[in-house]
Amino acid sequence: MLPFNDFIDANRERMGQFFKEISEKPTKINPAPVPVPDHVHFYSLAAIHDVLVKLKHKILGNLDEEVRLRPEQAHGIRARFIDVMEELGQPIPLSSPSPV
Amino acid sequence: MYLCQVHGIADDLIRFLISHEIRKAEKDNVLEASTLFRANSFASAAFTAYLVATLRPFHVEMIRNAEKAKIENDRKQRLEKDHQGVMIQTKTSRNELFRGNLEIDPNRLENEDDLLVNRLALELTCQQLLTYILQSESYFPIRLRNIMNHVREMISARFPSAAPAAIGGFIFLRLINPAIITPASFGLLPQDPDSDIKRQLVLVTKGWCSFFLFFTWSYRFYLT
Repeated sequence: MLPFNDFIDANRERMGQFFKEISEKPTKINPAPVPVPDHVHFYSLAAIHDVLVKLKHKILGNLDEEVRLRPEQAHGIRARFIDVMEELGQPIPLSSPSPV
Repeated sequence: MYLCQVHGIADDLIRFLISHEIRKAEKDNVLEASTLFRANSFASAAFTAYLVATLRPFHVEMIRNAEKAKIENDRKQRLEKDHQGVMIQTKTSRNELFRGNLEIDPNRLENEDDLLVNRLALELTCQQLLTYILQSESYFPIRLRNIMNHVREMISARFPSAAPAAIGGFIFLRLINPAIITPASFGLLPQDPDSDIKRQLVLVTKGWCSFFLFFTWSYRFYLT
């Protein structure tokens, strides 16, 4: 059993403020998205699927059937997807909503 | 949740479930701010799914702040080495965030571990990661702010001083802690960390839990 009170005391006010701010009625919009660090990998399958379809199956071929991917598959596809998007000079829709 | 998300009514569903959970606890006479949203109910599961879909920008900014701090720290280390003219092999590893062992369970300590040192390292790491979270506040999605506002109003009407604890429970138990311990399930990293790093992360998240579990402490809090 170890006391953990210094940490709590030092942050009580900041955490209270944080909880207060995130639970207030929003009066301003969120900042623009920032560049994503290289080591952060997203599996936004909906976004990937949409773009793949728009690219007329250029990468994976026929995607008419439902796509079910394991995380490692999605990871590989994302890398290829980014390559193609960069070649085309198009923005990468990493922030697209991903239905769960 | 998938269908509601597609049809643009996920926020309404979450508000309904939150209200339902509170009213149900009230009806069953088990309503306590400290236990709200803790159970594995349908509302909790739906809320977790909702968070995965809506909170990515906040997660990204949190990680970006951590990454920025790590880069800055690396740069300072290099400058110091240049000034001294001594080249020292820089140790880089996946657990660079954790300098030393954070374990504070006496039954898990190695021979070379010092309990006091580990505790201080744990507090420091908790503080460091918490700072990244607080710095990312402006990226907290507006949709979720509205949901949190609903939670605050519902709780404040019943327990005027317990709103921070309820909001903290919601945010940390359902959003931040799971994302940090199992980042792969939130789509943040290709795979989850190994068991050693995960244990350290669990200890950090336990430290954070102290905030909302004991937000109005009148007694000493102990972490094991």
